[in-house]
Amino acid sequence: MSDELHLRLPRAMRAFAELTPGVDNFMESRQLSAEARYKIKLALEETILNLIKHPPADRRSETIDVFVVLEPGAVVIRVDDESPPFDPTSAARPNLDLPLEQRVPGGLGIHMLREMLDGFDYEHRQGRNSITMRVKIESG
Amino acid sequence: MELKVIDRDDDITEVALVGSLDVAGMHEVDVKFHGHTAAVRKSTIVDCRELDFIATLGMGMLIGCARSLQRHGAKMVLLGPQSLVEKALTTAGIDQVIPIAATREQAEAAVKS
Repeated sequence: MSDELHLRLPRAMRAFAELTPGVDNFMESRQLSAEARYKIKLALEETILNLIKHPPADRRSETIDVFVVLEPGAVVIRVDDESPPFDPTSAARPNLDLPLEQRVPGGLGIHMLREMLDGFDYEHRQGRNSITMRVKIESG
Repeated sequence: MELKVIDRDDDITEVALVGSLDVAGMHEVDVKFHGHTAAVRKSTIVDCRELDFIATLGMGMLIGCARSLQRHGAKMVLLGPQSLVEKALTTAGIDQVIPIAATREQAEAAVKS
C-alpha cells in the first residue's frame, strides 16, 4: 500500500466529488483517528475552496494538485497550484469579537487552519504556490 | 447529510443536522435549512449531536440564518455538538454569536431568554 495519494483536481466545485472518495479511502485504510480525519478534511476543504474562489480567472491554472502523504507520526498534506503569490500563513487574523450582524466569513478558514492543524506553511517557487499542512497522528 | 425537522407543540423550531456538513453536505441541506429556520422566523434549536463535521462553509450557513432570525427578534442555539465539531465552532468564535447548549433544557432556556 502506497503511503502517498496524489490527485490532480479541476479548479471547480466538482473537485470535491473527485477528492472525497480518494481521501476517505486513504484515511480509512490507514485507520486514522477521528481527530486526524477531521483535521485532514478541514485542511483540504478550506484550502481548495480558497483556491477555487480567490485567484483571478485569467491568471491561474485549470488544475490543483493535492498530495496526502503518510509519514511517521504525521500526515502531510500539500496543495499546489499556479496562480499569483498569496501567503495564507501571513493573512490577518479575523475579528472574532464582532457581533452577529457584522460577522463575515472572510479569513475564517485560514484562521482555523492556523489554530487547529499541527503545521501550516507556504512557499512560492517557480510560479507555483505550495501550501503544506501537517496533522499529527499516533504512530502505529 | 440529512436535515431532520422535529415536531414541537410550542413556538420553537427544532431541526437536527445529521452527517457531515462539508461541501457535498451543504449542497444537500442548505436550501432546506434556510426554509425550516430563517424563513420560519421563530427561535430555533439546531440539534448538532449527530453532526460529525463542519467547516467555514457550514458555519456561514448557520451565521446567515442566525442573523436573519435576529432581525426578526428570534434566536438560534446549537445543541450538543460532538467534541471535534465544538472545537471547530469555538475556534471560529461561532459560540460567541450563536450559543452552544449541552442539553435540550439549556437550549430551550437560551432561546427563551
